[in-house]
Amino acid sequence: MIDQKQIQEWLQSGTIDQKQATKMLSDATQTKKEESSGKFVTSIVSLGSVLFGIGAVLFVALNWDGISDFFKIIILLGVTFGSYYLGYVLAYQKQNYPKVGAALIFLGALLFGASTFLIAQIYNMNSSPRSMYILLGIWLVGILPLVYGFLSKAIAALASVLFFAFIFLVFTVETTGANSINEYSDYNFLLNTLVVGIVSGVMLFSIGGFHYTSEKLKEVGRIYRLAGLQVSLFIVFLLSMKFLYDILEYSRYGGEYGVSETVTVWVAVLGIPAFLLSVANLFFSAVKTKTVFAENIAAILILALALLLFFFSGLKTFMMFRVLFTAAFAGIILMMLFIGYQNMDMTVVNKASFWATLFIVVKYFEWFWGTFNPYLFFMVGGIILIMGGIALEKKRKELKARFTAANMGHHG
Amino acid sequence: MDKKKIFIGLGIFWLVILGGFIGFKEFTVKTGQEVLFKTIPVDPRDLFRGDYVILRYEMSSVDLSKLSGALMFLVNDTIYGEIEIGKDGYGSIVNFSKEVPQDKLFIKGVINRAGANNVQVEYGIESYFVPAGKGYVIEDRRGDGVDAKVSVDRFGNAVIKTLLIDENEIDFKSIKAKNK
Repeated sequence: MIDQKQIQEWLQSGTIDQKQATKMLSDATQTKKEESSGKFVTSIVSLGSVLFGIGAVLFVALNWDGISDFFKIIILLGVTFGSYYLGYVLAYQKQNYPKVGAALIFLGALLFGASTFLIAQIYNMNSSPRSMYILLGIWLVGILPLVYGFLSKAIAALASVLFFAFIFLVFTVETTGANSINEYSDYNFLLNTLVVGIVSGVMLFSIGGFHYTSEKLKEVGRIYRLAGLQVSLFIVFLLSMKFLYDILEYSRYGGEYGVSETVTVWVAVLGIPAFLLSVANLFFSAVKTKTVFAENIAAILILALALLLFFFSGLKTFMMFRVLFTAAFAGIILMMLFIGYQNMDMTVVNKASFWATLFIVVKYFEWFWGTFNPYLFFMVGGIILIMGGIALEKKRKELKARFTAANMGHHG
Repeated sequence: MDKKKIFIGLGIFWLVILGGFIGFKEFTVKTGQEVLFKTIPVDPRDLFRGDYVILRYEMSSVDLSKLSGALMFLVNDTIYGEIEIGKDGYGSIVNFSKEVPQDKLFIKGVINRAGANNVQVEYGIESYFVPAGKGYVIEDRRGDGVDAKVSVDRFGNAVIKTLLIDENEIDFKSIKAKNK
């Protein structure tokens, strides 16, 4: 958007005259006010829609015995489809309030989930993890067409959350207590959760990559890739920390290491598709750049590390895995910074900066706690953070200005 | 693709999913046979999760040593219980098997815990949702004298229709809610 500084520069260079400059400045100010007002209105209406939806769902839930099952279903379906229809009319039919319409369609997606859960409650469906994953599966399948039909990034983000919850619950329900060596071992549960988290993160990351074949689906694919990256990165971060291995060892309660047949089968059921998708992304990605190639290689390496941890975890190997995951995490952060810089993508740079800062703080505590006197430890740590923060902010501003200038150069 | 077509198509898709879900449950409720099962007392600390009651039945725990034939079950296996309705009007399981019983009323369950001689089974009728603040009538009985009226269809799927205390259907509308 043209701002006052730009107009001033054009005036000084003689590109425009004073009359034109005054008109442009007036128009730019008016547009900015309208946009700001528009955003405010969108937020208010979106919030109002969400509150209305919550109210409708609560009305059904809290007047359970006062309404017949038939009317409960009518109310739920009515609010769900009503929100969806209104959103379509505003965003696509009349096209007068596109953002409000998109917010209402998103609300419809949320209400679809709420309706599914309340319908289950009407029929007294078991409140158990098994029922939960069935209901989450229904919700996920129900909203996926919305992601592609309306190219909704918000619903893609919701689908990503449901995807992880669904995979986690399916894995937990289908493997808990089944032939495992330590049947209800916290150790196995914790380790399996971490491994499955990385596997499903890499899977979603790779699925996102395939969306780049279509220009229209690129933004949706990016959401999946970022979601997959964030989850995998978080778990790799955890696996780089000493305290996690201490917890793993403590939760073993002296029991045996090792994996059961059933759990192994399920890790394979999830791991093999994740591996195949990652490899397919490597060779058939629509975007043939070095950065995308590097991203896909990193995904495969992390997946391989996770599977190695699953099969070879033990007191003797914990140190080795901690070093490997620390190296992997550091490598990913550096790669994200490089990719963010290459693609002039501030989102990626900011995310990488966040993780880098967190990593440095945690490692500082891990390596130096007990080495210095406490007062020195905190003082040195504080100075490092303050100076690091100033340097980071300075660099971030430089990058932002450089990216903005480069983008304007492209559009000018 | 035309947005109108997408909108209509997705609307129909949602109707199919939700309608299918409701239809699946309604099939069991409408076409199933009504069976009364006695619930057994549960640990009072586990009785409630929010506003639903946890129910257990005699058939929730199966002593494998009492079954004919050397049956072995693993977690997540399906188990079929042949139902016989006694003179007192209550249903009980007379036989368990891994195969679908032919020409008999049966209920389908899933093994959720398996030991050497005993398995714990889930039939999908272990939760009953109660209106907020009114569950104390069940809690006060600690699961004793509480029966479940269940509809079981020809595929062994079951849905709880209502709960009874001392053989009388619980009418939550006439019960005053207690504030927590």
